[in-house]
Amino acid sequence: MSRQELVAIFMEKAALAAAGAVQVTDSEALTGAVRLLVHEGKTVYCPAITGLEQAAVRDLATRVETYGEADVTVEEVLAGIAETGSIVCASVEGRAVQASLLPSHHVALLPAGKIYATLEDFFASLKAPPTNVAIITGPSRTADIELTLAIGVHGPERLDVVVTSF
Amino acid sequence: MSEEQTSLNFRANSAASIADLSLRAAMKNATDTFGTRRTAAFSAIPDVEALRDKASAIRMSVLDNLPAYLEEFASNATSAGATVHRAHDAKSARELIGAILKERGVKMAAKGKSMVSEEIGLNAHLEAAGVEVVETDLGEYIIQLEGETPSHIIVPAIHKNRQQVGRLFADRLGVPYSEDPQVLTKVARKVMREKFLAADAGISGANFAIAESGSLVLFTNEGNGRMVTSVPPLHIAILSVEKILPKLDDLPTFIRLLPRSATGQAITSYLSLITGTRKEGEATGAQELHIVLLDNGRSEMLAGGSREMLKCIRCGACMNVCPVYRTVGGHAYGWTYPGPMGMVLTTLLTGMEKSYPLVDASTLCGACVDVCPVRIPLVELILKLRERRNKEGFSDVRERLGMRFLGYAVKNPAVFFWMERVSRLFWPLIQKISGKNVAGRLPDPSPRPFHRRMP
Repeated sequence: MSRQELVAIFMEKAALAAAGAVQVTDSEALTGAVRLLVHEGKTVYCPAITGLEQAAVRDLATRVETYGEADVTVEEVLAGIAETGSIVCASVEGRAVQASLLPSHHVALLPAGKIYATLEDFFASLKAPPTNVAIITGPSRTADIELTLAIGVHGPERLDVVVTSF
Repeated sequence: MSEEQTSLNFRANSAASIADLSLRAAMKNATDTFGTRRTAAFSAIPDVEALRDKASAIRMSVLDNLPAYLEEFASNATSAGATVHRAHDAKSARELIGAILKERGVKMAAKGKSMVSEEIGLNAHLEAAGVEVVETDLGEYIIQLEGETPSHIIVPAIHKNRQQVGRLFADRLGVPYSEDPQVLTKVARKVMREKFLAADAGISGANFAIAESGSLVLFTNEGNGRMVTSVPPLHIAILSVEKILPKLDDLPTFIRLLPRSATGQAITSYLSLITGTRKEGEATGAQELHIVLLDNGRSEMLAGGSREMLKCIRCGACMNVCPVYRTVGGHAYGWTYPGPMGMVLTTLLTGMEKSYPLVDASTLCGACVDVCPVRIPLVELILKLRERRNKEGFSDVRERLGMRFLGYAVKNPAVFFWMERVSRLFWPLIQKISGKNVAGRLPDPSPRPFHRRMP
């Protein structure tokens, strides 16, 4: 399966789980996409560890230092899984996995090269798991009242994935 | 709740449930929806039967080598920074957790959904010891506010409708009445967020424990499971011993089966893999992690003839399709686990003398066997329990004598012939003696019996 086919499956499955999914092919497009996704005036947390993260938030004025006070987290994630449209956050590189949980909007930056085709492929890559790994598929949800879907219980009510292929 | 088991009142409980029309409407709505979603979810993947075979084989291999896997898990979890405890029964587990919290001066603990904690009656014990326990799963929170127990292992408040939840929130939380689940969910988010950040400890269950890595696996949708396991500095996880899976590579099979069977999702919103405590240079994870492995009767089950029940992964699919559960709801079963898996597990774990009426809670239709993702032969297990109840003398003496006599009669055509004539003659008397619940419900005997219509 070609890389682009994997990206296509990933984006389709992510959308089925009510996540937003877009693909960008250069750094300017990434900056522009994130600017569009983050609503005016919302505070943004970004660990800005990788070049991708720095490029993503370079146009945003409302940055904050901690995820606890942020409306939005913008961060690069460990991996994507095409089979389920999931992204994976993990306690690597000093990252706080809670940053993908506490703010009400999570913008995940996912390099196309980090997308695994199946769950098996992903777990095979994870021989010594870090302390905390979260496989995330769509926004936080519940159906505890009359099995009626409600979005945004304790985690984000909105999840956007920006797949980067450059 | 383990102290006040009312499985002995199954018949009376059921009669009360059947009379509760709003409960029956809620149950029908919920179980129908679950059934439809489950069917749709499985129609989207190839080779479901092979997947079930594989899952069943993995679970059996765990049961065949459980002590060794538990050793392996404990050793790997300990290397990763966790403290692993073994609790033989409910009481020792409660006391163990109570002592950990007390030693650290914990005032408030945020709790994720855990049926094992319900099984051991953890909340009541901790509250009595002065620890405030806040249930953070929306369904669990609703029933905690109401002072009830879960009636379904996946959707604890399945028996409540939106109007009841709306009134409950208005009364107890002082918010304006709403019956919109989205609005009610937002209310819970706000109340709960403060609790998470203020909690000194998080208490959770786990869906699986991975032997090879010492990891805990939690499937959640709301995000509260991720909160309680990573935000407070102290995390206590309680799980029963049979929740082990050998390897991380075994997980994909169960990721494909468990959410589809439970809620009809291809995967839950969140799947957390927690391996030990926060390490040097990490910014996530509890500083202190205690894992309590609860036996509470499992070892005895493992040694007995009904060990296949321990394959159960708690998806709840069997209850959603069970004609008895769908009619009477979860509370009637009188203990933590309802439905077909519940009636078997309850009887095996708490003893025949505390639960024998539950053995009747099945029509033996086999719908549960058709949907079980790990192929537990529930009908076979139920029949075994009925046999055992009979042997141990817990069945109704009239039923026992009647059945023995019937057995004799069908083996002896002459006896059968004469008894049929006699019972036809004395039918009104038989009806009167056996009461309205037995013969009173049967139609009158046909004037010409079936066997005499045969050429």
